[in-house]
Amino acid sequence: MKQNPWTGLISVLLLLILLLYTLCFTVQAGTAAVIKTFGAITDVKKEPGFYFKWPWPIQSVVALDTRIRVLTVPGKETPTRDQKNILLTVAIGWRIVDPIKFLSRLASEEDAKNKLADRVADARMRTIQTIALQDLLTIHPEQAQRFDAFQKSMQEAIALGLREADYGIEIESLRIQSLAFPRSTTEKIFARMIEERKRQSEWLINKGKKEAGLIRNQAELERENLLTEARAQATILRGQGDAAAAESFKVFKENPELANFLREMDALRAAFKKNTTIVLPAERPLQHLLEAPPVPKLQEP
Amino acid sequence: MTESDHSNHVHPPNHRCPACSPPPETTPEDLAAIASDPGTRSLSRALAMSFTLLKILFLLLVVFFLLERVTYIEEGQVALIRRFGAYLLDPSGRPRIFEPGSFVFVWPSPIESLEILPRARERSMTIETEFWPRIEKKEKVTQGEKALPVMQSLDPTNDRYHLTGDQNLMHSQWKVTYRVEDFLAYRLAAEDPEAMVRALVVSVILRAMGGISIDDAYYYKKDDLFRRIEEDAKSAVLDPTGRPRWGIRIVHVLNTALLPPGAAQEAFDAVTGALSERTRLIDQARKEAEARLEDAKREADKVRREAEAYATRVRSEAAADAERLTVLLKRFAGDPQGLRIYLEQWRSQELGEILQGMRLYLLPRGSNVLWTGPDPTALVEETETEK
Repeated sequence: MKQNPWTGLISVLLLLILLLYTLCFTVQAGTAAVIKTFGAITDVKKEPGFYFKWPWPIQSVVALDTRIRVLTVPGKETPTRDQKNILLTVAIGWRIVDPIKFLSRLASEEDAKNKLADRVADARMRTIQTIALQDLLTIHPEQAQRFDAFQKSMQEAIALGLREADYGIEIESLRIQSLAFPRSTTEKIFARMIEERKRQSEWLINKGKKEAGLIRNQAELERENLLTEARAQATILRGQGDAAAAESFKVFKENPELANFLREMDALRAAFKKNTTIVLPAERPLQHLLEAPPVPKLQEP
Repeated sequence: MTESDHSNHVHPPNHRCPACSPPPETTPEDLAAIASDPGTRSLSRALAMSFTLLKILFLLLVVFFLLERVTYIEEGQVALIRRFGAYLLDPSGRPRIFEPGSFVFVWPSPIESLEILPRARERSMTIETEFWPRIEKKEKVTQGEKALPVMQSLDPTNDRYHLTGDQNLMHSQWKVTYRVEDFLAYRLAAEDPEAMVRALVVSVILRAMGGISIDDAYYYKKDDLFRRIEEDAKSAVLDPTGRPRWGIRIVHVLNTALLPPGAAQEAFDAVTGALSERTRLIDQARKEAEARLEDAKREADKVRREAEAYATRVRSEAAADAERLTVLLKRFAGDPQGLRIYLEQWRSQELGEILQGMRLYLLPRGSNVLWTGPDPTALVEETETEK
């Protein structure tokens, strides 16, 4: 019976695939591969790519994620320098920088997290005890810088500890996630907040009344000023009118009696307007009316 | 039993010993006879069909395998390919991105692997529990509600809040909108880039709240505070060169709730009411002040107008009088008698006109009592009659 060449080819292919899985490995980007030969660490591959190894049990590969990871360490009650108990939760970004040291000194990633958390807690406690609470909570313009400086100092304290321990880990960032008081303190804070708000309400209403009063007073003042100014201007205007009239009256000097007569007749007309009511004694009803100004004697030319 | 032993043994009848009598050779005629046997033919056909089916199945598996390695990139997605662990790059050194609408063929692992990512569109995450108390479901406060349940105290492990610069408590919730801009950084910089962003934004909020008083945060400078938080978050997520640290750029940080603790809510509402009242008092005073000033302006205008009218009248009258006198003197210059006659006539005429427009009441003789009845002369007659 003739051998089918395809059968042979497929068999070879399958064998190759099997060999590929046992003799090769891939390092993904963002990871590092630590090669152990008979259980001892012998090499590390940090660059992504395709590599060869001896099959197990001669060599084995441990892949480690070298990207930044977040670890949140919950706060524990710690006194500040000014004896205020606070709970500070922090989140650190950490990563493996030396895979060989990491595997040599730490049993597992879980072990790494636990040790890291311990160091963070320790550094946090020591750093908190060096600051006053008002360095973090204050309406001072430099509060933000103080806050950042505090985070940085905590990060540096942790980094120092890690360098000493030489775990092959570094801290990329440290960020405060929560700054809280113990439970008993919050009760007192509530009472204070309520009392402060009550005072503020009263103060606001009083202030409103005072401001309203000031506005009204100011308006009255302006009103008085306006009217005073208007009256002064009126006086000036009247004076100007009188002055202009006086200029015209110069003509009257030519014949003062005639001028007076004419003005008195005008005054009579103005005094006794239409529908004026006059009460006179019956015996001399028209006497008063007839007492009109006499015609002036005129000078001969 | 060797060949030499065959002479010593006795075969049973019909026994075929291969040494003594080898089987007869299969002749072509025998084979033909076997092949033509119906049973054999049937078996051959069945076997041939099976192998054919197997080949077809194998072919289908290969085709299926090849098709399964082809992926269609849908709208809103992009794809990256890793080859032997490293991302495929374009000639400029940037990751090669497969855009929506394209088909991508990927060799099986460990040769290649495909990663599908959301395209650079906006996504959002909420910061809901980091500054919020733990509330039973039935008491859950949704966005837009005005108060939290009253709690006598806050357990720092479960009830979250932030402290203000004057060491008061506030609760808040936020929504962060962001965009994946650098896919390589997004995949390689951090294991969970969103977690990094969340931690950063929480820290920025805490820092900003810690530098402002509760009244400014809640009443007076809320907008400034929120703007500052958004700006700080946007810049903190970038590295010194301005590139997103973890491939993510923040678009917006929006506050969705800002409330005092439930126990103090009533007191805060009272302040809100007091602020409104203060505004109302001031607005009312302003309105009254404006009205008073308007009245004053009108009155001032009236005073000025009256003065102007007086001045105008006096000027006009004086000018008219002067003119009249001048005209008379000119007209009757050298004729005083003529002037006298003219004046006498003019006076009489004037008096006549004046008297025409008057109402005259005469007091009875010897009396100073005025009767204001419809007919004043009746009183005169009555008085005369009495006399």
